[in-house]
Amino acid sequence: MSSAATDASQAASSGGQDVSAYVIHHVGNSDSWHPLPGVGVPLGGDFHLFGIDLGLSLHALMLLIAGGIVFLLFGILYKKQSDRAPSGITNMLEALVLFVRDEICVNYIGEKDGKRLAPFFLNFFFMVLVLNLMGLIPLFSTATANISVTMGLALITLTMMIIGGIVKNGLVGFFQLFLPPGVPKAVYIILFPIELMGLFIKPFALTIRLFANMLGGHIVIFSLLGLIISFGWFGVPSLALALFVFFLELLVAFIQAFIFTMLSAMFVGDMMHPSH
Amino acid sequence: MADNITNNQHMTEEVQHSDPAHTDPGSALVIPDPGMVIWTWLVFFLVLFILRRFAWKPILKSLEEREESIKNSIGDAEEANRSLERAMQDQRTLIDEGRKKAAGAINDAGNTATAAADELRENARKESEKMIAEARSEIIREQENALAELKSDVGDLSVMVVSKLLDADLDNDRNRGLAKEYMTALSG
Repeated sequence: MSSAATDASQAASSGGQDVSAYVIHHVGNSDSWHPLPGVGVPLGGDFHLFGIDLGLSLHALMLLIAGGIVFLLFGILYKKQSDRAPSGITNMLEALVLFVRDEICVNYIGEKDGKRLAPFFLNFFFMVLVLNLMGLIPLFSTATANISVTMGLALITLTMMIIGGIVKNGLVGFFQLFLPPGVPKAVYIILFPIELMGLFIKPFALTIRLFANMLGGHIVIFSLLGLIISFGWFGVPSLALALFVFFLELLVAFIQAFIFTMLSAMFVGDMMHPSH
Repeated sequence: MADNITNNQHMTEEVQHSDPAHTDPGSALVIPDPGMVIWTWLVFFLVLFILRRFAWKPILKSLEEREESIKNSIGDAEEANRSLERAMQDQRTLIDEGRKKAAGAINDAGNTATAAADELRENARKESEKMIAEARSEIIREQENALAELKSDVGDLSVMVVSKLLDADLDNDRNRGLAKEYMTALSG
């Protein structure tokens, strides 16, 4: 990663190769944080546990900062005003919390379990939202454009699906979820593996969806800005297009956070209270 | 040139660690890194447990309570509305009944007055008729009395005249009776 960065900074006029390196450097993970141009903060680095590299990388730092921001929002800035109508940040946060609880949790998982699992989905929603929005601030980087991060979140959904299914339906009932009723018995031979694959494909789709949306948006923005590197002053009009895509990315940040949470809730709800 | 060779040496060294990220930088974006997956879980659950205790649970609970109190106060307001409606309805019925009774009383009074007036008129008429009948019979009696007196006077007078004419004494009763007989035969 750092060698690619030095390549980009050395060969300033070689065109395509450097632009791609520049783009990849900006959207990918790295070992150092560059909050301001020219200021590089090397992070933890080489901390290996059981052969897995657990050093603090840029995206890991972004995760921690996002956690800190969410905690700041709800733990400190949210002032509980139980005796009158809410206002300010409390109002905005409450609107979002109510939205997630009512339209997403209770709607897809049911009244009782939905309210019980609401903290999970609230966490999903706000973490993904804050991570997405942080990616739009030049100071930070988009952690959700990292497939490992989205995969981690989707694996949490998968775990909830499996555990929820087993707890609500029993172990035998869990496997019966993959044998939908109203189907001639002979078809089960094909249907059971397909349904089982469906169980794993759903979180996989969650992963790819969030990852590709975030990554794609940022690649487009950086590619458009890279035109300035390639063409010098003639590339400056691409700023307008980059600005437009930037606003689009803002919208996509909210939408993708909502979709991720909603689909997670839908999948978990299907496992816990099968509708068929 | 020398720089390029050093760079190449660096790259081959890193390739020996079989790290695809350095031969083809683009593919690093789509290859999951287990370390990052674990970091994601770490941060997610850390935030979840901290906020669940300090933020999510209290906030959700206070939202529930507010919804409960809103529902209760709406229920109370509806109940108060309904009882007010009932009270108004009762009041209206009472007023209507009162009005009806008053109209009935007025009606009755009018009827009674008319009936009394009729009765009085009837009585007066009967009284007057009785008086007229009495007067008539009185008149007839008086008439008959007067006629009888006249008849006796005429009888006496005619006896006197006849006695004068006949120069005889017809004062006794037998003659008077005879004269009356003749009178009756003449008049009757």
